[in-house]
Amino acid sequence: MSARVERTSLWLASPRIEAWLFFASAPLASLFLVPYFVWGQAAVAPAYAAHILLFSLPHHLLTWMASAPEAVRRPLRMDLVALATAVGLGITALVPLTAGTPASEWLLTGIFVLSVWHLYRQHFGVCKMYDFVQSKRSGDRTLAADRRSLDAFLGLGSFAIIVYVLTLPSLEFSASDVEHYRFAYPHVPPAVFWAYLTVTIGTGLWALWRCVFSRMRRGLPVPWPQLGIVTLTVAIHNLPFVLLPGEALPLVIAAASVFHNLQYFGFVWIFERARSKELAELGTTLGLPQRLALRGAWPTYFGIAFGYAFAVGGATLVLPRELGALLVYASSLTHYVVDGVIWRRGWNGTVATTLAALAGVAKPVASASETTARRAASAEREVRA
Amino acid sequence: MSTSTASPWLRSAPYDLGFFVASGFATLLLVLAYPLFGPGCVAPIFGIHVAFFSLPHHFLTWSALAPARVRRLNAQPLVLGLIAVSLAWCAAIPLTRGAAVNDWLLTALALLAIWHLYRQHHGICKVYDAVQARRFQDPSIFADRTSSNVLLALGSFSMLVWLFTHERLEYRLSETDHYTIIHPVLPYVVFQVYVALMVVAALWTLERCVLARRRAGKHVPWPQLAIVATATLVSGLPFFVVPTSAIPLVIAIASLYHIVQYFGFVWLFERHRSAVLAEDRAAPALAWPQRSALEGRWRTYFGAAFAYSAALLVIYFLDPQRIGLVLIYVSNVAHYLVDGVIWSGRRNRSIGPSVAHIASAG
Repeated sequence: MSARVERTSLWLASPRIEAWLFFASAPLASLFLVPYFVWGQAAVAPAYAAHILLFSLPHHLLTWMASAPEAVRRPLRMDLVALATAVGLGITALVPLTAGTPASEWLLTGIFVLSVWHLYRQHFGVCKMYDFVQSKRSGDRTLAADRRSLDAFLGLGSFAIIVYVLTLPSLEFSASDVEHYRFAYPHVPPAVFWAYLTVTIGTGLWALWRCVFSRMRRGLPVPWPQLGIVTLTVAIHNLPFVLLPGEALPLVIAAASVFHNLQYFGFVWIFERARSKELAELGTTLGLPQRLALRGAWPTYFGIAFGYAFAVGGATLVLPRELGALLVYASSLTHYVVDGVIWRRGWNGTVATTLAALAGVAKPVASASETTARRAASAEREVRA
Repeated sequence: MSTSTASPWLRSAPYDLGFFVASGFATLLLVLAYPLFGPGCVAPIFGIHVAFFSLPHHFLTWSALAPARVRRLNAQPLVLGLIAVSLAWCAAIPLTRGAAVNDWLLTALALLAIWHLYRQHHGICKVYDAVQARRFQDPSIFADRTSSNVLLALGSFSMLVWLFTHERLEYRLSETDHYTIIHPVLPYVVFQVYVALMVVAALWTLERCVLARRRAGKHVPWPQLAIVATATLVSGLPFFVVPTSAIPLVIAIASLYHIVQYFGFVWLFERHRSAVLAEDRAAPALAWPQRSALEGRWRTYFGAAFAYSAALLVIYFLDPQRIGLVLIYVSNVAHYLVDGVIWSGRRNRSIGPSVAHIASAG
């Protein structure tokens, strides 16, 4: 793999996949807003349900396909995966336990914020992958420092929508008759939002200076993919709210979520392609998902994910409505929490190896115990340094 | 050193137990003041806690961060950003007085305080892990201790979950210092499920950290287990004795435990860090906090912390409703936020060598 990598390429692996699933996916996801302009409020519930079935549920399964098979489980901190799964299921159990009480609005508001946090973290993480791969290829050590401004802009921009919501006297999320609640939040004066927006814009200008103009002047490559992802994320998190009223909030969420889902499809596929190749070269017996990735059999790979989505979707039709909704909550919440574990380099020995392979730099696969041992030895290395 | 004779303590059993464990049980005794003296004891105890413990321990954060020699080791832009956030947050407190958002700001501050206490106990346990992993040549301690990390997290917030089962909560220190705690009213069954989870986590901890490690012939992390048990008791026990109207007393008790632990930990850390820094003869001279630590002059070191507290209190008594109030809040919030950065091994390059130095000393 290393020999084929173009040292100046800014892409992870496949410009075609990345262009479509990381960038064109944003305008495509925005199409979810169109039904509102045609059919009004009546379009909200069906469009939201369609996004769950066709995009959200399939991408949840990819988390398990990337962490459950034995070959990929070995270099992973499975105790943390088990803990994260328990946390996800625990939060899900609170949904019926608090149903009908005021605590329910708090819980569902918390889950809403967690979902926005999850979207933000993925965009942040994909940008970090680009940083790693680009700096490894080019040997450019300044990228991480220059990109901090853009990270700050992504963080502020992703949550601007939440700060805006705080200025509204009240807001309801109504996606269906079983998924509707009033948000619990402090009502803040509009001046707070304007101050936040000013800081966000200021940070955006700082990022533009540090990542584009300053790097151009120094003759360094501009991290265009990261700039593209950050710009599209900030746009899709905020612009729909300018165009649509508060009652269409589920569609705004659907658009942001579909952008994130498509990005996840692309990123997991690219990652699994590279990882399965690395593992196969080491003679590891691969699980089904990794075998499919190795063969490039994407219709089967994603077919399984859609099969899961239709199975869960079918179950929601057969089961009592509340139980069906709970099934979707369980799928979403476990995905949110487990995803926060399995893509961390410190907890998954294959992440650094795979990123190194994408960058064209060889690095042996570390087991979970080796990963832990590395943490124990890190201070020792600092002393020697 | 042979791993069989290695010490699990950071410094010594009396020092560690005194500052990190026994301090919790000592502060728990304060809960008895309520049945003895009634609600009138809450404000004086809270005041003494602020003047003699809380404000001085904030100073330790600045003395561990501000001198030029150690400042270069930390994430400066992030620290400055967090101080700016603290200023904005605390300036909003007097400005919003009387509005509903004021209750949200103060509730958030109280939650941040509880989070901060939890993170310190967690962090000190992590330092023990790193030190023991080196001394016993046993990196499995990190994974085995996950169970007790979960127990600590659950235990630290059990008080909050129980409080949230109440319809209305008020933090009332005096006629001028009180606010309604904004919270979801949880069904009691949620607290029962939470306690059941704590019991499961405790059993899991017993198996992973004690029984399984004994079977494998590995050391048992008693210091960490003692801290986890003490922090859980300090968080959960007081409300068996006092009513919910005495929230400031319970906060003071949990905070006092955390502060005495902080005094002990920062002094120990600075002693080792200053020794590591002093070995670099080419670098500029150490500033007085690190010099005091290096030379073991704890009276000078902690004297400055008490002087900082006295200065803030003088300003507070001169203008208690505006500048004094904001300054004390800023001292708190900035300490909470900045402390989360300067003790992170990833952000502070002096942590690793200092922890290695502690490990080599045991």
